[in-house]
Amino acid sequence: MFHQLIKHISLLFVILAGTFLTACEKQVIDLVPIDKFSELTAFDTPEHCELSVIGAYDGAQCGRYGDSYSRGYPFGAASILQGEMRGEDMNLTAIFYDITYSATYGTSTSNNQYYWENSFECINRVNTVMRGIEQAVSEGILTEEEGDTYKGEMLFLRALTYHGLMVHFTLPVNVSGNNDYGLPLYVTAINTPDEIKAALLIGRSTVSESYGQILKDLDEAESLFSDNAVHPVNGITRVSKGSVIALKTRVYLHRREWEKVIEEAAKLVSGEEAPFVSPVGGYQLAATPDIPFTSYQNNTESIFSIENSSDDEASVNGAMAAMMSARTGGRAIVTSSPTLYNSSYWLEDDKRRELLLYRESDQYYFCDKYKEVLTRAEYAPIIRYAEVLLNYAEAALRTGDRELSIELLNAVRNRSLSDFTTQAYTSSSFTTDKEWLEAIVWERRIEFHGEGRRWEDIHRLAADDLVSSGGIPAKIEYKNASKSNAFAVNTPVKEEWYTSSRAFIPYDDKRFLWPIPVNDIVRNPTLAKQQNAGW
Amino acid sequence: MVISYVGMASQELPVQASMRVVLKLDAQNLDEVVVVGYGTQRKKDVTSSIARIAGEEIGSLSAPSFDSQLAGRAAGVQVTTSSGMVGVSPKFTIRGASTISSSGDPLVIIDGVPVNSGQKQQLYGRYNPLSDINGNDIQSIEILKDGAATAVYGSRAANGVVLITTKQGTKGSAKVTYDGFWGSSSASNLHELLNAREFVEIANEKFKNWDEDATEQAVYDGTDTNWNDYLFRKASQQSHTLAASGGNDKGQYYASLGYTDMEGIVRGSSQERYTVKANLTQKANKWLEIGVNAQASRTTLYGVMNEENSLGSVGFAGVRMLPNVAVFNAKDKTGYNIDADNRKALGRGSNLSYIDNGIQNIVWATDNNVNRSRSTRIISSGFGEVKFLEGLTLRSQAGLDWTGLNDYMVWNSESGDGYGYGGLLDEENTTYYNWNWQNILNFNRVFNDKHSLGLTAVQEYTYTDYEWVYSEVLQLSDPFFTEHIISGSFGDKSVGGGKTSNGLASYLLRGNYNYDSKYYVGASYRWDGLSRLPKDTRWGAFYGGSVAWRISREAFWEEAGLESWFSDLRLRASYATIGNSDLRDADVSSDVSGSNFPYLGTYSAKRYGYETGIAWSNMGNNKLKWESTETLDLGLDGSLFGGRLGFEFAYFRKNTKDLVMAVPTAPTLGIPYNRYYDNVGKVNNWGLEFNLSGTPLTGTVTWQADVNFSLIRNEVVSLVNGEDIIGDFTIVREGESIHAIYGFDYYGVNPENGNPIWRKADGTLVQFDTFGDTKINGYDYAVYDPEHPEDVSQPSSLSATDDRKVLGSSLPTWFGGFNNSFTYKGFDLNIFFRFSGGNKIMNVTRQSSLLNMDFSNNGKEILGRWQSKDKPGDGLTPRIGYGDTDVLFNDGFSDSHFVEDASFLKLANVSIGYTLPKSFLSKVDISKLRVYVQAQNVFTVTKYTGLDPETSTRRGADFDGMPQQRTITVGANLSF
Repeated sequence: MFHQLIKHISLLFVILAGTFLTACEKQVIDLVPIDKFSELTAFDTPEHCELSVIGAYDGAQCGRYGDSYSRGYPFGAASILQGEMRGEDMNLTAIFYDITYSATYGTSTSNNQYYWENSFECINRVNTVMRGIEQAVSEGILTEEEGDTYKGEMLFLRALTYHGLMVHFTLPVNVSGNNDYGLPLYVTAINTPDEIKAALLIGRSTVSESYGQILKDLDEAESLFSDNAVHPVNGITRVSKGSVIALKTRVYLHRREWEKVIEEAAKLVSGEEAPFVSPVGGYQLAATPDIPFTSYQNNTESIFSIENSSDDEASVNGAMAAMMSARTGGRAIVTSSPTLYNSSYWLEDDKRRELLLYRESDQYYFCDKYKEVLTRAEYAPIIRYAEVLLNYAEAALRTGDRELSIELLNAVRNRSLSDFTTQAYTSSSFTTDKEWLEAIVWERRIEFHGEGRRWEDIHRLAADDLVSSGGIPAKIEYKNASKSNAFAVNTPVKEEWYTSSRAFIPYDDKRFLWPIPVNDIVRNPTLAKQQNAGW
Repeated sequence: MVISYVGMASQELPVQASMRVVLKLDAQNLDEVVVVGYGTQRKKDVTSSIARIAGEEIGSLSAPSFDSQLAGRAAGVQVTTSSGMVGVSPKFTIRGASTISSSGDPLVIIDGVPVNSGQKQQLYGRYNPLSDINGNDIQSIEILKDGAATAVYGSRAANGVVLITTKQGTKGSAKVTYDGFWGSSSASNLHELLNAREFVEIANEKFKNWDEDATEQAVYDGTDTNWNDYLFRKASQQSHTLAASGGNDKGQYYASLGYTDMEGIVRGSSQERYTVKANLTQKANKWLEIGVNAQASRTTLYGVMNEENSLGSVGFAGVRMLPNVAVFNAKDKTGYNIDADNRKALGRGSNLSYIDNGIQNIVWATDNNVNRSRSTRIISSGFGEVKFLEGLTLRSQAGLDWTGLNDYMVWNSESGDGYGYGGLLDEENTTYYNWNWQNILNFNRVFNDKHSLGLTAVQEYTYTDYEWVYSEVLQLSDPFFTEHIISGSFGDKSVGGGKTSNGLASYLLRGNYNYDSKYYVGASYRWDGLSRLPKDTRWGAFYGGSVAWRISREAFWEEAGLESWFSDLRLRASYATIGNSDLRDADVSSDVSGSNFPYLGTYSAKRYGYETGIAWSNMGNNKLKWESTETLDLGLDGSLFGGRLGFEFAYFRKNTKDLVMAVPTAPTLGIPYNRYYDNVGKVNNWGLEFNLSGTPLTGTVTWQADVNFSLIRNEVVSLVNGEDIIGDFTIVREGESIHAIYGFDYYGVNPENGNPIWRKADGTLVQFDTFGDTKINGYDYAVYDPEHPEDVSQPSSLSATDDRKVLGSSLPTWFGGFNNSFTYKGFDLNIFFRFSGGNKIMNVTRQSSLLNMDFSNNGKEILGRWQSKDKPGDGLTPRIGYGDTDVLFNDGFSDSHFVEDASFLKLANVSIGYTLPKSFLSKVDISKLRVYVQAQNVFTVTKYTGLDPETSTRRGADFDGMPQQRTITVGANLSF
């Protein structure tokens, strides 16, 4: 009787359980994320492909800093601020960038580490998207042409990112040493444990091989764009043929292949007299020098910028406006330097001085190219038409075409002069190539002030035959120079503004290059043996 | 009067002025029950290792949450509260740390329902879900430790299980109680900072060592501010609980109302809580019983922004505030001392420049910025139990834990962090939702008075989801609009949100049998399916078995005459496999979905400026499977001298394998978060636990003492390819304990030039030539030769990869508690010590904050710096230089200079109570009134030079941690 009862009850229990079991069990364990795509669906429609491509741009814009916040690494802001802080034309008012400014970095310094790590995350994200796009094309989800355009965009981002790394982690092409180390070249996606194993065997290429890959990517990218138009979604922040060619003029300039600079620049510069207009993308200089900044979303001069918005920017701890601006709410940490302000190359009535903001309290000038201190939404300028013209001017000069060079230099400079008819350079302004080249380099310093280009020039010119930078320049100590009437055009920069702790560092010092950060030294056995010399 | 004691026979005796009662062991009818998971067992028949803590031990203790008070109460259970701030959740480690990447928090179950626990943080305010529980409502807390006890919770048990049982009504007359206390708390220890004169000297020296002619930036003008006096305070606290309980044969009830209001010791912080609790059971007829357990609470926390190395945080900023400037400035429109030129920053006073990093006036920030977390919580469950026949029941129980957490943050526009935003308001609404449904079939029967059999079958489903929405507005038109987000009052805005979920389906069978309470055997088998694992590997089997032998019940025991003084002796052993279903990666807390779908390759929503996209965010692994832990437990329990001395010894071993770990990848490979999940590691824990309880004194003065002591060893046995997992301050390395402290080996200061010296891995000494000529290897590493200390010409290096080593364990290897209760007539006295040690802590606060080389204040230690050959200082603190924190102290890494012994002995609690005589109380119709005075965290004996050896901000490191609190309360327990 008892056993009977047990049996019945057990049966009841089993039935009760059985009824709800499947339903309830499924409800609690067959779950899929609702906040994320599975990788199986990331490229399964044309719309998803577009989303994934935009995700690759995000990799170039705002990587991880620490665990959560982004500070615009590598290109959303960091390349600009690091580029300025490694140079001398902006001074530091606080501790914030001191490690960069004073060159006291090491293998675990956050700035270098996140620059390196986010660049490589961007590269693998680009490679991953390329793989997905190729798959989508092969499955007929995208047309051949759509796939090519996406691939062109991705190759540009890869080249840009590799070049961004070159100027911080490898020596310039004309400096030997450091085992001729370039960068480890990852050209296919790393998505599985097996691919991780294979990629760990890849060591550093040579400087020449790295440049070779960058240019190969850019050549291929150029060929993949079917027309000359700018990108329909956003002509400035999405890549098109013009962006690719413009970047090539920069990369060839760094590679000191002047003829190639001319060849590429000529594609974007028609004719030999100003005003110059690009047949590809329709680029031309804006009427006044402030337009690329006040109208950063829509102007004819910005060839490629990294897109930021008020909802997606490099934060108060990274954005250009937050760091440079002395407007209300700006942190005013990175200021303009007397080295540039006082330069005789920068005429007192030059319109570009209107892009400086004076603050009486510390008697200092601040860069005013980025005014949106509260939203920090400004795009990060990566390459402008003015740079293409100046790249061209330099290459023309170095190959003996001084006349064209002066024309190109004046094209950029004249628009900012209050009266170019009297102030423009003429063939008699300077006599030697060296003097002309100095004028071009100064023009770049003035024109691109606050855009992070300064370090790139210091790097590529470290051992230049004519205008050698020689290494990391000595830095002004802001505390010494503020409130000391430091700013006066055409006056010398005083010795007493400098300190011994921020002295000049020659390019053969290990600090000229950033070290490979510690996490790769620890986890990448191949790279661990290929650290930059001295680190 | 009736005398009763656990495990003893109750005796009814006439009341005399002085009496001596000898308790008799009652092994035969020991009916005290212990909650064991899906049921109860008679305590004496429990064959596993379960620690029980009675509710009254913790109910009257004043603390932001009751769980912190479990520290030191049970062997093998380590509870560490990282600071005395409100909202901080203590960290439990039950029988060692057995996981590396996944959660180490135990499973917490209240009245059978798994609940939300562990530290939560959405904005800057922290929230401890267990702080919603009123300690006065707790009847008992059982901590399941060994495999046999935890195996019934299968996949959720690897970190131990905490079962909380709330008070139930009892048959008999209604009882109304009031428990309340008032108290005052203050910081038990604060950093000693430089005064104004010292600061001026040190600050200028930092510059002058670099450049003798440097302008003196710091100027003494007579102002001398001790910022600690403004930031920390005596905080008042009060708590009141009113409860009623009662019942009859058919139904019982317990209901309570609670109110707690505590100020935090940091200016501006507080916690206020209202709780309502009702537990009802009702017998419908002979075979059906139904019941409801419900509680609702509302807790409002005004928290303190405190993150590691964060400019706006109290810990970071508090020690850096310039002591030669004032806190307030009547001339400033805010009334606070804010820099006229840099409105973000603290006012510079007479100094030539403002504080480095533009740190805000932290007193202004605590007064004007808000970090509020408000939780509204309902924990409820209902059950129906059908009794088919004697001993056979089917119980169906459904439970719900719903927490609505509202976080609100104000960054005032006038200064500080909010200045750059023009004022910023963040509001985040988070819902933690968890339901659980269990069907439990239970059979308990004793046959022939000898054979005792218990069988249990369970099916259980648990579902948890987590969703959040936040809105942020900035550029406020006026600071007036800060009480709430108000439409039209802001310039810019953003919104965000997310949702994720996980679930578990479980089936369990358990059987226990004992013969005459002499021979015991038990077994359980649990089958768990987890949504966090891929379909093919989702199901895991977990089983446990235990045996026990009560030697004292053997005939020979009595024959040998032992029974008269050695009344109980039992040997037990158990073995089980258990798992860890909480596979989250503790390091990537923001990536909540990654924790719920670690096996799945995913693309998450990302923006590129105005364009919206998706980006690869997790590398999948379809082979991911369960973590599993094998546990072995051997125990010996006994009772002597008529129960006056009880003991429990246990040896345990916990071997965990297939740890689900974030396998770190080389950043150059560009894998999202530089990791993917795999089953890779093995960790072993083993230890000994001792528990002695006795009554050394009986009579007029009684003394009851309990001491528990645990020894624990932890070893990482294997890792991915044997590779170290290197954190900032700690390392996970094979052969070492988890998160061993890892850093540079400091040697001292070069007496010749004040350079810091380290010992390299190859044994040679290296100094950093801070002020050397940069043309000849200055500002770089140079060989240090003790024979020629002045020689800095030989280049050397100090490498983060080669020259760091393990500097000690961050896990305590021994800990315990010593609890003493004395009574004398109406008086009672409780003295509770706890202790812990064998571990080291990296005092990053000292390295990075107190000895910072910025233009900001320092701790007193810096006064021991090297100044000259004639003033060599303390031999440890090098010559200081502005901006040189990295090179002098290896900021960002552990350095033995700052690695300290964290052993301590704490007088955790002293209370003196007096129970008023019945004769007096009966006149006013009160059945019991006890008044008491209590002091908590009275003193700490330790060599640790930081705030407290338990202060930590991550495993093994104290990085801008906050002080613990010392509390004195007076209270009353009243029964009608």
